[in-house]
Amino acid sequence: MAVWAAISAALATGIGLALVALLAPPERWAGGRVLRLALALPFGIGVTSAVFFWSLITGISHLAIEAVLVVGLLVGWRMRPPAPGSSAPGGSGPAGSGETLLRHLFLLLAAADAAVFAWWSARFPSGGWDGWAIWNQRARFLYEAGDSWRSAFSPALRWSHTDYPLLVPATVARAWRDLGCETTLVPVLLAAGFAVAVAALLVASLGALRGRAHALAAGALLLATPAFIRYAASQYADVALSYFILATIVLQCLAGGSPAPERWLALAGIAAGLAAWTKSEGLLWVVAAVAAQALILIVATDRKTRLKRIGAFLAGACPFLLTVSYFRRWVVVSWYFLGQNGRPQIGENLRDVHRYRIVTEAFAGQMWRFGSPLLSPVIFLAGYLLLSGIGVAGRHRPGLAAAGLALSLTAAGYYAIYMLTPEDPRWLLETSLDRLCLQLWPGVLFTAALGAGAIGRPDKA
Amino acid sequence: MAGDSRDWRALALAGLFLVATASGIAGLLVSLGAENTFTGGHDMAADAVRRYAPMRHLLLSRGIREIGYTSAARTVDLYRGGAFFRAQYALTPEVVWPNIDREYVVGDSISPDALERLKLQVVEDFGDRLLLLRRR
Repeated sequence: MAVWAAISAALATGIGLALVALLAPPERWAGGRVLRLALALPFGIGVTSAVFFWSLITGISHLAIEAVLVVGLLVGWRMRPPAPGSSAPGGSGPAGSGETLLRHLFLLLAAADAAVFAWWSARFPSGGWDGWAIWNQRARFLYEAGDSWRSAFSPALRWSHTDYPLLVPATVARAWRDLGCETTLVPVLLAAGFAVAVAALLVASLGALRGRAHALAAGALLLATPAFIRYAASQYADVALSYFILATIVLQCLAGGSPAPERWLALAGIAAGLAAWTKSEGLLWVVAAVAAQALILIVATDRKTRLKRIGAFLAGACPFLLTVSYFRRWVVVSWYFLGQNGRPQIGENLRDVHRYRIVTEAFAGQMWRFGSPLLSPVIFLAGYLLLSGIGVAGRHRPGLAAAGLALSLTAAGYYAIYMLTPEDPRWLLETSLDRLCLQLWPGVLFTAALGAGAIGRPDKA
Repeated sequence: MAGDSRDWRALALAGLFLVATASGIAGLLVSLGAENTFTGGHDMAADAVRRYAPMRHLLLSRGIREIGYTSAARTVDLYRGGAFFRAQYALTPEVVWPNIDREYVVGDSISPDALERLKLQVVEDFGDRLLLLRRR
């Protein structure tokens, strides 16, 4: 079984690396390899989780499908036409004293977060409430129920959001299947992996696009958000979703400065598709990201370029959107959001002024309550922007505008969901708003740092 | 003047990030305390897996794949369904219904009065206030 587990891990890693090698133009900047790794490993996990789902449907071994896939990707990589290399500026040069302080603070926070994650995972290896009640429970069904795996979606389990997609539980079940036993170490390592990937992608991408000082500042603000590490250690899928939202934004911004933007946009589409395969909110993210991208391209490019770029994005997202569609059409038998307390009373809720007040107050309250039981990191982000000012380089403007618009549209979508749900909005806001904000938080930090003015020594424009 | 302004901003940014770091670490420690208060320092799901293990073994060996659940009422109030959710997690791959409309029913900390009222009889007592029940 150890051999199968090793092969399984190697295939997931290989698929991620081959996918990024095939699509991403060769990098010519410092930290490019870290960025590739931070993209490849979660992408490999996402793709193999979808393959595992299809193997349950078809009965074909997931390892066989993955082996074919990795060979196909490697052949495609060897045969692809050469692309001009990206020339994103690197963060080279001597560090100023401000940058040194930021690096020390970043490392201190990383050590504190790692210690808390380890302590938490040792104490609560089954995860927090949603971790075991939703995600690990679904993984146990997929692993233990054998041919009866569809019983995981029985109407009896409607309370556990059986309509949620399967990236996290399928990854856990796949690893248990290949290990030959159920161990809490798998979801713990998966949660740790996604937390590290979020931080690594944030810092590596900003290092490439904006310079080290801003990269470390944004990284420090992420790691100084206690909710980030708390939800990661609780094994909630929100951290994985926050990764794919951040990856979509980063890749769209990398496309902005690249001579081969379609390749980056295809990867951005994959990231968005994997967001939809992680949590239901990910579908909203896909719609918001496509709408924002289309709107910016209408302003900035001609029709042919627009179609090519949107087409590349959708081509990347398509396999995962089809997987989600199949899952929702043929596997899920009940929807919690629409089914628990009857149909949403859309007209009645939209006319309810009291409801607007409750939801608006909760959203506004996140400005000082989000992410920490003490001082919200939003306050520190505001201070950082106030002190550094705004300084957007011309080539980052389209990407930054698309990111800001997509994040705003998604937040507006969350607001609409709270307005329309047939559930008690107070209860729902209390139990979920913090997590929904966390899904967007790394993307917000990236967007803010990319648009911030110079700090420390003159940085990359 | 421009140099003074840059120095002032750099100093303020350094102070800001020092406070953010201190606040982040202190917030982590406060979060740990809050989680411990909520769970009593236990891994609730792992505790449930241990508690339900003998019942799960019995159900799987008898080929029973669906079961009801009660602790007092005919249906579980899902807004206060913590014990029921833990039962489902621990009994997986059994499907646990939040009512007593199945032939077999999990009796979790149920009183003799409730057993009588709901017309349920005991099939097996696993101790720790956990019963396998059957409809009369």
